[in-house]
Amino acid sequence: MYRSVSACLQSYSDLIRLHPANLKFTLQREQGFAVHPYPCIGQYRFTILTLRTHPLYESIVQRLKAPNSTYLDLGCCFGQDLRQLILDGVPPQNLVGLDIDGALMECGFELFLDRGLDSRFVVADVFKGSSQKEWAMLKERGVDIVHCSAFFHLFPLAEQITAAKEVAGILKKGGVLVGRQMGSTKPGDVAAVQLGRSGYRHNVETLDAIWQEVGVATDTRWLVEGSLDMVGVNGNGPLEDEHSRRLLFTITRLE
Amino acid sequence: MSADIETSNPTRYKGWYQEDLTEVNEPMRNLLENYAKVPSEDVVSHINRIVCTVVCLLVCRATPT
Repeated sequence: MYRSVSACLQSYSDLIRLHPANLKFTLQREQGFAVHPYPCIGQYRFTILTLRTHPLYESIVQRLKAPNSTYLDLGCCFGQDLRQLILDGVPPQNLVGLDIDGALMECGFELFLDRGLDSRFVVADVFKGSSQKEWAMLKERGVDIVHCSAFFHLFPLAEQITAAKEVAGILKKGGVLVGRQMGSTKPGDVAAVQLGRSGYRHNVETLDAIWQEVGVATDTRWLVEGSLDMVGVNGNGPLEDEHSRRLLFTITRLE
Repeated sequence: MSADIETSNPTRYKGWYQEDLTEVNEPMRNLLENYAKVPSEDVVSHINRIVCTVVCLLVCRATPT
């Protein structure tokens, strides 16, 4: 039996308050990083608000202000991009955050001090699609904007296609998938931190190829636009090399 | 072209968890101050405390009793 979240918080809360830095590194040394080593947390990448830097951000905000619009943040982490949208005037009830890890979204309420927020936070696994009630509800509701940052690159190619098909199933016609992820000038598999796992990194052409495949499989049609650049890329980082690039993308459902 | 997939290298984890934040970028600061109403002087320590909480939670979850 694993300790419950509340029991953990109970035992650590005083220590956290008194010695946050020391405790964090003590835990890391003792546990050997056996836990989910999300760089979005460990490297504080969640503090980088990615959606607002997307070229389409202003039009996304306008679109989401309309009644019955829906935004889904796939792999939302703390839900930081949702809060930015709200700050920019989007009604909270139009926003949905989704992550496989409910603890991150819970801590989001602590980070943003908004536990009464009227947005929906869903714990779900993209790969299980509509077998999950929440995902089936999203499919029925239809989504206008899906944002996913640093998501697809976590998975090998075949799994990315599986996930993409699920996303295709919930996007309305005219809906858009936007985001960014680790790409490469030499597309291929890169070792992930989790042992034995790899993630496929795209350039725009290979990204387009998988969405053509998704289109054929789901009887939909997609326009893939994207670019590679060096923004936020550190060639010496733990998972980066000289071919690494930021891949920025806009994928529109045409049919 | 594929990179070799490493199968066993715990030292890959090194460098993942950086030192506590000492400063935060302007957009996130703006969000925390204007949306969450965190006082300006508390923004950095607030973020560090949340990250520490998350790390503790993840460790607890992975630790059998």
